[in-house]
Order: sequence, then C-alpha cells, then structure tokens
Amino acid sequence: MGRYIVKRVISAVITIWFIMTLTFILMNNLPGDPFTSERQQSEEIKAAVYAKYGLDDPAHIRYFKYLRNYAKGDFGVSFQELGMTVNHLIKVAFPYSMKIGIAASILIIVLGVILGVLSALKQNKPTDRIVMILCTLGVTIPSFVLATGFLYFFSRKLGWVPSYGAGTWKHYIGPVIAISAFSLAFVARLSRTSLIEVLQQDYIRTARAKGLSERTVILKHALKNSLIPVVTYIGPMIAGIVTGSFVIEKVFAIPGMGDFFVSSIQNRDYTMIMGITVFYSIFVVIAILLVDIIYVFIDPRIKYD
Amino acid sequence: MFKKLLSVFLVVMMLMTLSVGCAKDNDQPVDDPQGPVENPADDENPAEDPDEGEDYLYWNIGSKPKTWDPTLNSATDGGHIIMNLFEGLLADTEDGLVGAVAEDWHISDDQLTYTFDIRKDAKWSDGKDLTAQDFVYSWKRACDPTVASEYSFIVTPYIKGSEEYFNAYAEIKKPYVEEIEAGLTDEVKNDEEAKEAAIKEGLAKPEIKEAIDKELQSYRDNVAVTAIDEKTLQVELNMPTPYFLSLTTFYTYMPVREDIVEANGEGWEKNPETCISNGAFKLAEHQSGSHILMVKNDNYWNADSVKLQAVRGEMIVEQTTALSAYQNGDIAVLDSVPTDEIPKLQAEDPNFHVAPRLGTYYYIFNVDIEPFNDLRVRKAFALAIDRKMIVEQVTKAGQIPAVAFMPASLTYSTGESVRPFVDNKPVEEYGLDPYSAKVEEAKALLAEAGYPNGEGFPAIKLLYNTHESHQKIAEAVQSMWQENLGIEIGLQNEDWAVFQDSRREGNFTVSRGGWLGDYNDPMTMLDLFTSWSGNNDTQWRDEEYIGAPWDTTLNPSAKPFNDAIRAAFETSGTERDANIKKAEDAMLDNMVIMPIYFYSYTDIVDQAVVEGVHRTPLGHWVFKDAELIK
Repeated sequence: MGRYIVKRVISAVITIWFIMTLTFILMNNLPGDPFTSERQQSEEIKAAVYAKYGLDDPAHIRYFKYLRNYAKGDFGVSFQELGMTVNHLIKVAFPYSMKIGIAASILIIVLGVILGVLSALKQNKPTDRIVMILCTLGVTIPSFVLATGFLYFFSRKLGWVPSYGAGTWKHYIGPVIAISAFSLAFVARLSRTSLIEVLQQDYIRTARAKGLSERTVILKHALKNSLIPVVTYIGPMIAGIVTGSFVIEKVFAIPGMGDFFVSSIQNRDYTMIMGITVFYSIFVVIAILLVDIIYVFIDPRIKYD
Repeated sequence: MFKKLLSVFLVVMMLMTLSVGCAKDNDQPVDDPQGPVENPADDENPAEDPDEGEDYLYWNIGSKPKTWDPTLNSATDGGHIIMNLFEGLLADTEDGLVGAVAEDWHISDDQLTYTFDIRKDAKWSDGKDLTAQDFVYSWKRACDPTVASEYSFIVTPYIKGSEEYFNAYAEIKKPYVEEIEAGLTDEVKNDEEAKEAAIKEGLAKPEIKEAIDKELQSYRDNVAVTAIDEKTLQVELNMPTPYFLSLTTFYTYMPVREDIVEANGEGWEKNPETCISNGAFKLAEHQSGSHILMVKNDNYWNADSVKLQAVRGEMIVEQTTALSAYQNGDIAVLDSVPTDEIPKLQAEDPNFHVAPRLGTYYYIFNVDIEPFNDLRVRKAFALAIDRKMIVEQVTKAGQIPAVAFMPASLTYSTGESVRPFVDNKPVEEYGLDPYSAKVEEAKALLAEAGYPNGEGFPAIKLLYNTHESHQKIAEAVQSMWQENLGIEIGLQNEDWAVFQDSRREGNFTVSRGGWLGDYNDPMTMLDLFTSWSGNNDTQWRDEEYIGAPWDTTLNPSAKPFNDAIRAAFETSGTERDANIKKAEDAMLDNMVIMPIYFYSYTDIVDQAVVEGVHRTPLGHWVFKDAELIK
C-alpha cells in the first residue's frame, strides 16, 4: 500500500508537470497578449511594458523561470490586477469558493445517497417517481436559471436572503443550492441504479436467506458495494466544486475563484492562467488519488500491491 | 476494525485536502497546521455587518478594476475610483472647467507656458502638504519609459521634453546593445532567442544599467515641468494646445506621492495603508473581486463641503444581480443595466436616466482592399442602413443615430456644438439620413460601381468582437444590406484580444469599431484616423507609418484629412475650428467609416437615498457633493 501511494504521488507530480507544460504551450500560442488594448500602443510602450513584466524573454527562458517559481510555490504577479500576486488573489478568493464547495459537497453526498437509497428501496412506487422527477429537473435546469430564479423569489420577492455578496450564512444558501443541484440529482440517480443492481446479486439473496433483517442486509451488505460508482464520481466533483463556479459566483456576486478560470483566459493573464491551472490540477489529482485509495476499503476485490 | 478506522481517516483526509490548497498559496510559511484553513471571520469586514454601513453610499462599480493608480490606469472603472480618491489641478464639471487643486492659473501670451498656483491648504490624506513637486514627479512618471504607462500618449505629445524622455531608452541602449552583440560568438548570433537572452543579460549588468540610468536621468531632467516654489507649478508645451487645461482634469495628470510609490511599487493603491490620495475620499478597504470602501478624507482642502461619510463600491459584474440589488434597496448608484430591462425602466423608474456619452459606434471599411477600396461601394453600404431602427429596436438604450464621427457634446472654440443638431436631434449630414435608409441612392451607387442589385459582389464577412450586443447590431445590419442592396454578407466574431489584432493589421473587409473620447476636445476623436495613428484600422493612410508596417497601399485621399489635422495643431480659435471641420469632412466625404450611433450612458441614482451625485462630461462618477437622504 505504502509503495503504491509513493508511486501514485510520483505520477501525480508528473501529471501536474505535464498539465503545466501543455497549458504554457497553449497559452503562448493564443493570439493577443495581456496588454492588448483598444488604444494602440506604440512599439516603445509595448517594449517597455514587456520588459517590465519579463515578457520580453524568449519562451523557453520564461518556461523554466515559471517552473522554478512554482516549485517554490510562487505563482507570480497578476497582469490583470496590478501589483497583486496570484498567490494573494487565490488566497483571498479561495475561502469563499471553498465554503460553498464544502457545504455543497456535504449536501450532495448526504442527501444524494439518502434519496438514491430511498428511491431504490421503493422502486417504481410514488416516492421513487417523485425523487426521479426531481432528479431529472435537477440535471436539466441550468444552474444559472436556478440561481437567478432563487434570487428573484427569495431575495427580491420574499426578502429572506440578501441580494448579493458573501457576508453572512444567509448569503450562502442560494449558491450552495444552485451549485449542488446537478450533482445532487446525479448522485441520487447513480446510487439508486447501483443499489438496485446490487440488491439483485446472489450474495444479497444469500444474506436474506440466512434470515438477516432487511436493515442489516441493506446497510451492511448492499449499501457499501453500491457506493463504488458514487465514490468514483464524487472525487473529481469535489475538486471541481470547491474551486468555484464561474456562473454561480457571478450571479450571486461572490468574490470567489470561479471568475479566475474565465477572466484570466479572456484577459490573457498568463500568470493567473498558469496559477489557477496548477492549483486546480493539484486538487483533481489529489481527489482522484484519494478515491483510488478509498476503493481498497470499500471494494474487497481491489488490491494494490 | 482497522479498515474501518482507516477509511474514516481517509475521508477526513479527503476533506483536509480542501485546505491543502490554501497552505500552498499562503505567502508566509505557516507553522501551525491549522493556520492555512482560512477563518472566515478574519476576512469579513465590518461593512458586512448589517448594523454598520448605514451611512454608506452603495455604488456598483460593475467590474474588477485592474488598477486605480492615476498614472497607470487606462480603464473607466479605475477612472471612477480615481476621480473620487484623487484630484487634479482643474476639474471638469457640468459648468465647465473649474479650479480644483489649482487656485489660479496663468497662460503665457504664446500659449506655451502654463503656471498653476496650488492651493495653500491642499494636502494629502496623511496630512502632508501637497506641493508642486508632487505634480512634477507624477507627470514625469507618466512619461517614464520604465513605468510604461498605457496612457503616456496623453502627456508626451504636449509637454516639452517628455516625448524625448519616453523614447530615450531605446536610443540610449543602442550602443550598449551593439557592444554586447559584437562580443557574441557566431553561434549565439545566429540563434535569435539566445541572442536576445544574451543582450538582456548584458544590459542587466550593474555597471551598464547604471550608465543607462544616468543618461536617462538627463532626459528626465529635461522634461519641462518644474516647481517654481512649493506651491507653484510651471509647465512648457511643445505647441499651443487649446485643450491643455482640459487635459489636466484627466487622471493621468493627477498627483501621486513619490515616497509611497517608490517604496511600495505597483499595487500601492490597493492597500489602504499606502493608498495616500489627495481627493475628497481615501481608501479604507479593498477586497479583490468584492468591493472597495472609500471614506471621507478629513485632510481634503474642501472637506467641510463633503457630506458623505463613505462610499462602498461593489464589484458586481452580473447586471441582473446589480439591478435586483438596487430594486431591493441595497445599492443606490449603478450604471450598467441589462439591455432588455431598459424599455421597462425608462417607462417606470424615474431614477433611471439616459444621457449622451462622448463616443461613437461605427463600422470601419478596409479601404485598401476590394470591394471597399471603391468609394461608391462604401457610400452605398453606409446609405443602406436604417440607423433609427438600430437604436430603437436593437440597442434600445437612448443612443442617438449618428451620421458623422464627432459626437454632439464636443464643441468648437466658440462653444458651439460640432454637430448641427436641431432641437437636440440629429439632421442629415454627408448625405446620410439619421432616420432612414436611402435605398434608391445606395442601389444606384452600387450599380455604378459594377454591382447592379448586388450581382457579382464578392463574398465578404463582417467582423465583430464576441459580445451579445455587437452580434445583435451585426445581424440587423446584415439583414438591412441583404434587403436593401441584395448583398448577403457573412458574420464573423472573434475574441476581443484576437479581434483587435485582426482589425489593426487590416485582416478584415468591414469591421465593428467604436471610440470613447479621452478628453473634451474634437482632437480626442479625430486624431484616431491620422496616417500616423496606430489606431487607424481603416488603413486609410497617404504616407507609410512605422507603427503599421503592413499598410503599404497608400490612399492619396487621406491627404486633405492629414493636412487639416496638422493645420489644426498649428492654429487656434476659429481658424482651428475650420481645420477641424475640414478634417471631419474629408473623413466622411470619403466614408472611411460608417457611423451608426453616438454612445449613451444609462444610469440609476436612487433619489430616495442620495442626492448630489454627478458625472463628469467624460462620464466618471463624482461623489464629493453627494448627500444621503435620511
């Protein structure tokens, strides 16, 4: 197990390096640069600005400079917010996205699994039907519609929640619901299907034949195995959710990280593009690694040696 | 049992990774493993407590400003903030130019030397005296090649010695570069990248850097802005510039503090502790992507007249959210609202206003290539659109149909508007009717050019930058050309950064264009299309320009325009007015652009909450005269 983890960590580092390199190449081949502006710059200004931000170095020199700095955890200075380091911007914005992300992840996992199990046990009964209709809605309604609708009813019409920003716990209700809807519905469907399938297995029949109570059969024998596909899904999902959603954060005016993913590319904010990519890939890689390790404990068929 | 414990442990670990990221971007090394987990309470600021902030004016900036360092800013959002944190020598108000930091000013008879008397009681927000030296530093900083201000162009053509200073670096380093190059091996010389790297490294050597800096300093000393004494500033200009006083109201000309800027570097303005300013307000809080808080500056010379205790500028990007925040009573001042809501707001909300803005929306023709190298084709296309329909059915935000280039708020030296509007309404000019398309005339011209009913017309594409509103206009224009000229054109959208390059380098046949003025003088619009302008995307040049090496097709028709602009720089009064008129005529007679509408502002000021909120003629919010209604 220990060796497996070491191996995986090494491959994770290589993966991140690969992502970085690819991002760097793609980014440098995007037309335009961080200082493209409506007012045409004279060649002198352009040269002066480039020199100031070290963009006048050839690409390979900049590449190694970036690598060296990233190894030290320094993402450099943002071109889009003068004087602010990428580290600082992420540090300020991440807690907002993270708070929403953690709350949403817990909601998705707990409620999603409960609804899924409920549905599976009451297969084709009214409870199941209602849950599945809700799930279809959750998957199909775009999150921005949900977000805008939430604001309209609960803020504008009822005045229960604030109209924008991220100060009190009330500010987070809307974003958490809007960001959860899709994954919640997905997890519910996933755990329903999976549990139904597991319940038809021979070993469940055996368990029932042994005279175990239905409760023990479900909780001890069926549930654990039915969660394997759910675990596969939620690993990368958590990584995606805690790093922020562009749309949701924009609608609720949350000063989180979601915006960076889009604006940095639009603005050709090179340092931010690199910083945010590395940050995000570290999350995804760790999440996937943990999922793989968790498999060992919930699925006895899997062994890493 | 062990397995169970371990799986619980792993789940906990998984959640912990959520905070691992945090540890990575912490600037300081953190010993306490709990440290990196952000405590939300630390970040929350008092303004978010519902009890506090009652005396605040809530205003939506609508975006995340890149900077509000007056010298470096080039954007409107930063401009709003600067106009409230800083103050220039003069201020541009609805009633014209008034003294701000300058109490009085004198212009020499030859109009080349300006002397400003700075108020004795003008101070910085930390209580230090505001001196003429502060302006000397700031103006030199604006044309410092190493500072590389994007708006240096608003200083360097005017102040004597500043252009030389700005361009000096390239000249000074030349001999050093040559020397370094001579010392390189052939192998390095032939490798472009290695050569560049070697030169850069060579120039960075302390002794060479010092020598270059020393030479640069002599250029800096020659920039003709001087402090005669503590409170008297003198500046010499290259040429008589009737709008120089107007320029001093612009943010690039506002003062910054040398000790602060030099000690803290870029980003000094984002930290409340180092953001020392001289305007009615000072910075109290800044949270990137969230808000800024500006509080009354008690050291402001006219602080007694400032009634507002604080302005909180929100960075809500989503227009629908901002509008609903206003409707909830959470925000009192905002300026961008969803286009679809405008007709309803206009009909129902007395707080909603539309005002003309100094800027024009137009399409540009690439005059170098077929088919728009033919004036008749350009005219036909310009005649074939219904501008009234575009502003009423498509843009719907109170824009004014445009049949010329300069907006009506620009004036001649006599104070008369450059646009002969009747009852504030545009009239026919340059053969274009603001209220309808002239289809017959357009068709005739097109037939004359060899494309009767659009037959045989090459396949062309209309280029615009990706944006919903530009797309709607492009679609409307596309259908008008199809209907009125029988010509089917394609639409092509490009990302802003890509679009600008395509347009600049002439890789288009017809493209969207637009320009917002930087200062209150016709030249802010007209000099865009000179042959020596890098922004002259029409490629309409009668002489080659070093900044546009791709434009080798010369158009003699541009000569009268360039001559008129040159003459305008050398004349004044009504003579200059005549040259300005001549220049605009030359442009529109050649129809190098196809005007569509004059920009407008939309804004909402909640009159139940606040009064006395103004906008400068260039459209910046000014809160110093505002007062909350209790």
